[in-house]
Amino acid sequence: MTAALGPVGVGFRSRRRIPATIVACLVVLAVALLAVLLGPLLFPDATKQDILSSLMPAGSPGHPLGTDELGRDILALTVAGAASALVGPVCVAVGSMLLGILLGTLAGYERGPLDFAISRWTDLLLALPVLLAAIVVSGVFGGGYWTTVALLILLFSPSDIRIVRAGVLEQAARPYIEAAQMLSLSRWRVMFRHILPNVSSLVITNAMLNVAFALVAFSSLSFLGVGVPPGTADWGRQLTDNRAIMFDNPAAVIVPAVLIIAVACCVNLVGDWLGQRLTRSGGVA
Amino acid sequence: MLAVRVLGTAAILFVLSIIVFSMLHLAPGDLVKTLLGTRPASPEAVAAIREQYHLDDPLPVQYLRWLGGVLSGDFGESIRLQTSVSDAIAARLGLTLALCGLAFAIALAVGIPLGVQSAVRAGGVLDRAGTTLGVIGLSAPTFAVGLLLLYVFAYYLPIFPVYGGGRGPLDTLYHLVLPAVTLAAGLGAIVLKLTRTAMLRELDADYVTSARARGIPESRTRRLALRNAAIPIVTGASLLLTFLVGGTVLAETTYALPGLGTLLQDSVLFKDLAVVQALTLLVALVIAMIALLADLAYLMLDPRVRDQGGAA
Amino acid sequence: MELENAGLIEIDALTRVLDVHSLRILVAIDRTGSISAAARSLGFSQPTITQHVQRLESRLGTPLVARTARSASLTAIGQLLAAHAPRIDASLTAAATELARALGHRVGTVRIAAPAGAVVGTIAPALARIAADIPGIEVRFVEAETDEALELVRSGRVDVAVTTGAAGAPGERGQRLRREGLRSTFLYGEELIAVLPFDEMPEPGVRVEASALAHLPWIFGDGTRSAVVAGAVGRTSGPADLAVSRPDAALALVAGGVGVAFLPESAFATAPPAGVRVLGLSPALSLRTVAVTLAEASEIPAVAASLRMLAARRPSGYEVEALADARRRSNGHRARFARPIALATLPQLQEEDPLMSATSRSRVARASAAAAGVLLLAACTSGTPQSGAGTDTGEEIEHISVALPGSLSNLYVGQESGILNYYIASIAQEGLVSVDAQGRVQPGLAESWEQTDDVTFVYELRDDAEFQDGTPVTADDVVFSLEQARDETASPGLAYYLAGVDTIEKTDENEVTITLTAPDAAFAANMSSGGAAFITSRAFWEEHGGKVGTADSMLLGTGPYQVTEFVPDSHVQFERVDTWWGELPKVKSITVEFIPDESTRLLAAQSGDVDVAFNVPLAQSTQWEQLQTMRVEYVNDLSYVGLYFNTSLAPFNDPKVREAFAHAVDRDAVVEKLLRGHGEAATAIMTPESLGKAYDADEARDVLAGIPQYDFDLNAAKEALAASAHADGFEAELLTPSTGPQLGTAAQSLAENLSSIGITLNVREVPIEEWLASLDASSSYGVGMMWYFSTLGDPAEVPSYLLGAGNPSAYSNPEIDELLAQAGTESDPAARVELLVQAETLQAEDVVNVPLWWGQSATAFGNDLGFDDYSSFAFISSWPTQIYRTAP
Repeated sequence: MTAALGPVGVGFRSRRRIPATIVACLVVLAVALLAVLLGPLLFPDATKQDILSSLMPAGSPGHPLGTDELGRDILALTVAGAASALVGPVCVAVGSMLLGILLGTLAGYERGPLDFAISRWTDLLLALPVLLAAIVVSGVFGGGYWTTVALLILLFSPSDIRIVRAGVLEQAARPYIEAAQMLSLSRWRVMFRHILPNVSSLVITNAMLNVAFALVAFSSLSFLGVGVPPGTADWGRQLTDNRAIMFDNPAAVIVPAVLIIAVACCVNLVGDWLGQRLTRSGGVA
Repeated sequence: MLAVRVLGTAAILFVLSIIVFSMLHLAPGDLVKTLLGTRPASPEAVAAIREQYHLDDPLPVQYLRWLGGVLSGDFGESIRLQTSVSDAIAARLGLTLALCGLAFAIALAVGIPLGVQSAVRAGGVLDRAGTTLGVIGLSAPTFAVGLLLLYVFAYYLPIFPVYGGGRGPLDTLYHLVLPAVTLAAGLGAIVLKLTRTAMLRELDADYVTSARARGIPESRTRRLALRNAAIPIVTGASLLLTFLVGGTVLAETTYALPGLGTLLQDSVLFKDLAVVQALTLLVALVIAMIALLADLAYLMLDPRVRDQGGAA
Repeated sequence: MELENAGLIEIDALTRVLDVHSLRILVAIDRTGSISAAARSLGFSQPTITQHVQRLESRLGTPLVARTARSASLTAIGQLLAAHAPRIDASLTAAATELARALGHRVGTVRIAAPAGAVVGTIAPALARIAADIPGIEVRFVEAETDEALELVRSGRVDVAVTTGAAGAPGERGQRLRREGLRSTFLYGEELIAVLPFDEMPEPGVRVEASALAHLPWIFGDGTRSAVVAGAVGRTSGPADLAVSRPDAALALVAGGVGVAFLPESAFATAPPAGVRVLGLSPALSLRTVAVTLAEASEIPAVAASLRMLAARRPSGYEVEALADARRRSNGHRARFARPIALATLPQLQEEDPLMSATSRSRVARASAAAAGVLLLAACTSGTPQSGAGTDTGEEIEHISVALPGSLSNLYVGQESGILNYYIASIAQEGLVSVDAQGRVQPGLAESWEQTDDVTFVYELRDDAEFQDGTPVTADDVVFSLEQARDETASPGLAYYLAGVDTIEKTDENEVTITLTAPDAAFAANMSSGGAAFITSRAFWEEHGGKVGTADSMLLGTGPYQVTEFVPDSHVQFERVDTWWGELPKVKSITVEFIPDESTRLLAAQSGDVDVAFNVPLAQSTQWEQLQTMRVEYVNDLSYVGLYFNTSLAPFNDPKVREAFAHAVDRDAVVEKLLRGHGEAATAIMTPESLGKAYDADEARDVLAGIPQYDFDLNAAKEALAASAHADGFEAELLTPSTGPQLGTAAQSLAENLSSIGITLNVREVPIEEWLASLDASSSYGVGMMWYFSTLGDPAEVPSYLLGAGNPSAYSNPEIDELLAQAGTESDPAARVELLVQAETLQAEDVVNVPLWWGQSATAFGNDLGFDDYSSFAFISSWPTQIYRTAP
């Protein structure tokens, strides 16, 4: 926290203690992380079909959560599916955040034609029909997992860019920046060493939001041929695939849905708390 | 300033139209096959249809034909619906606008006050409850929320209709409640979060502390803080609106509403160029206008930005 | 005293005005609720009835019928009169039968007049049949040529006149007949045959041009039909022409080399004498034989029964070569009657309850006809119509709500031809013919039709058909509608069905003739609303500049319901009209709601908002079955799902690779587990129902099982792969449409099996438009899923698409092409199936298509609704007419 110029918040309460809910969330996330790392090792055959055991309900012998239409065990699929479900969205959120930081800061600080260009670029991206982009990507590039990640980064970036830009706009008017400019600090230093930490809470909040959105986006694009193919171990995919058998084995739909919501919740709560801490401990946003 | 903005918007629309045209051309799917269905197509039939829709002309010519039409006010005809594009859009515009408007209104009406209260009593019961609900609201897939609402409010407690857009303005509003709430769930959560974050920041600022120290009543202080928090809220809100425009599809599908979302989706899949172009440009125009309004709002709300030379 | 007299005089006058006929009319109007329906049930035309009622009303000086725009009901006076009708009717019948017995007559006499030439072929067999099957009828016969016979009918001295005329003339004659109060019923048509000495034309061939024979002497006279031919080609009498009055005389003369004669088919009871050549004419000329009766007389059961027997004549004796291999008479030749009376019992005499009202009598007739019908239909069990639960209460149904599992953007099938579009369009529009529950062709807008040669179809339109806006249906409208249907730019979705059509012409006031460029055995059914015929009015089409089926223009058809509102992607609204020629349906209005999301649809059903739900997703079938207020019915829906390979792309150009795939499919598991048993493992491309014209359900399955099969055997698959040029395995991609999730799961199952032998199959789910675009020989996908919905169930439809020219597999097998071409012209159903089975056997040996399953559809009906004849063909003709309210 060196040389972060700016007024220190007077209402500064240094609460080292982490609230219980946040601890709970962190635990959940840790478990999720474990699943991401170990899932494929624990259940390498999760996608193996066994059509004779099709649609067994939860609580059946050997299948605590039941099976889906093709006889795949729900528990195995879910644990193994953590990786696919979480890695992509996190990458999307991080990628979008980076893009947002880069372009948003430039736009908000430099103003002028650069700002104009970047702002119009975000307008363009926002107006582009997501569906169209998705099927073109699917048709031209084949629609694999990482192609989808790239596509979503591009499509999510406008929100980050705009948010960062607004934050930077607001900060750039403040006295401490004037002071920095008068000190002839290089613009890059001003932008990324001084302004950025102060907009960080906004950025992080949004990034957390994006994880949740990306989680859902992945699965909603699946019927277009983008994202993961049917039958993959992936929470979002399972959610879409198993809607049809919702009444035969509700666990097949409820478990991935609950997990998606739970992880997204935890990510958001932790993100909020982090954001708060960043705000409070010195950085004025 | 405004003139530059307008020119810029026009430039975007132009570039956008070219991009959409190219993308539609690149997209998999074949208009002719879609029209003919799973029947064998004689070369003559295919040729006749291609001729009818000028599909064999070089791409620039096809584009210019469309552009020429637009510049003279004719947005062309929907191949799928066999009506003019303007009719097709006009027939659905009302419903989608009503849905978006209702959802947005609900989101703001619920999200902002709750956000402010959560910030003011940070860590309190309301804060916790609000945040949790909000998080669930925005991480739950739309169709899940929709289905849940349907089960509870249309089936177990038959208050609202299960599907459809209704006939007549009041009936339509009645039909739109559940879909609007479905959409507002996620939106409201975002609004709540943004408001809360922004308010928290402001409430921590010097001027609030000094105002409090000087004995200015809390409500006035809060209002001051809210004004300052407005910028990020406005940014967020404007973003929400733009997401809303693209996000109505899911609600429309679940509730069987004939809105612009489904029109766009079906037209993209069908490769119905005129409709896709018209809708995309409409959306772009709306977004550009919202961005403009947001920037104007900054000008109004933040004198410092005003001094700095105004919006780009 | 004077007053009394005046009163008596008045009553006397009134009794003179009231007659049984008028009373019967009033009863019919009361029962059916509209004048046109009453007219139909009595066997008259609507104007006749209207005139009669008006006359009666003016004579009586009081209104009897209250007419509204859509219906008619009796006024209080009318009801008063109608109440007396049954007893009066019964009294008269009793008097008549007693009289008949007293006079020693047998009950039911029919007097027939026919030309001498018709006796051998037509009259004698018909009389024999009548004597055998309907012993209660006594038939009198008198020989008379056409004009005389008609005069006898007019004067009431005979009941039926059998007349023959050239095919060109009957339309006009028909008009004239109608004006005179006569009714003509088409019996059969026959071609004219040229008989010539062998030496005149020794070269081979089956047909000859009449004009080419003009230079030879012709034999005219009553024994021949040469006059007709001469008139057709414009040949005037020559000096050497002769005339004879008997056909055998003509034949003898020809055998002697004296000249040329033209005889009808029926003249060939036995083989012609030696030295004589019999050839068909080119262009073919035919004669139509009709039975003419007084309009009222056709109501008499005995007369109607006789007409039916006359129409059932089969060509007997010698089969002329020209015709034998090109034509077979199909069921369609038989004219359809207002009521299937022949199989209903003639009214009993003493046993009949004199108080039985007109309603119940017709019910009995219908019921017994239906019973007889069911017996006849016992043969076709797979297409067996199921009737809905419960008995028909006969109540009117105010409104039904139909849930559609998709969305329609346009109502005109030519513009959007998905299976759902067919279901909806058939409510308001119909074709020249219709398809019954067994898939057989029945009259539609055309009351009769004949196939005069292997490429010519002549349709005789009803003269009382109207569009829903009240304008009459003219032959012009029919021709126009069909011409639009075959224009690819106006009707891209229908043009294919009419690709083989050469000309469509109005050949008479109410007659349309269609010629094909090549024989096509499947064409007859194409003229229904399950194929390409959706008749609309030219004025309507032109008024909307060809943009029909949109929200503004909607549809104008001839069916029992009119489209009153259409909001694309939302709903369609239908209202019942009384302009339809059939019996007034019970449902008054229909709303079709588009609910694409399956969970929402189920919820709507659970909330009781839905009366009929189409295509219930098989995966949700258990939930729908558990609904208290609805029941689910399953039927084989003529759909086919299979794998197909693109034989021009490696590695699928290697037959061993294809064989490996064929052995890797576990059909039974897929049907049982993934389709929940609602489907059938397919042994061939053709579905068993499509063989319905030749075989019953079990036989059809036996026939199809005879085609080479590939069992699920992973070892065999492994061996096949090892024997191929790609023994190390490979990777491939398969597209499945997102609207067919069961195809996706089946593909995944296949992929799993293939992975165990070293092949990686990547299954990708894409929107249906993208999937459609990949169904092309030029696509880059070597293996694909085929999903085909057939509306008409013609056995050749799917094999032609998959194996014929332009098929998606880039497969070209000249033997198969030949077989398909032959099947196209072959009209005997069994022979046709045989040819197609051969074609399928060849393709099975080449493993170009791997059949997976024959599909089933599930339809959910409200428990208070019944549906007559629910079958595979139920929804492609005016199906709402089959709905009735059941007793709770």
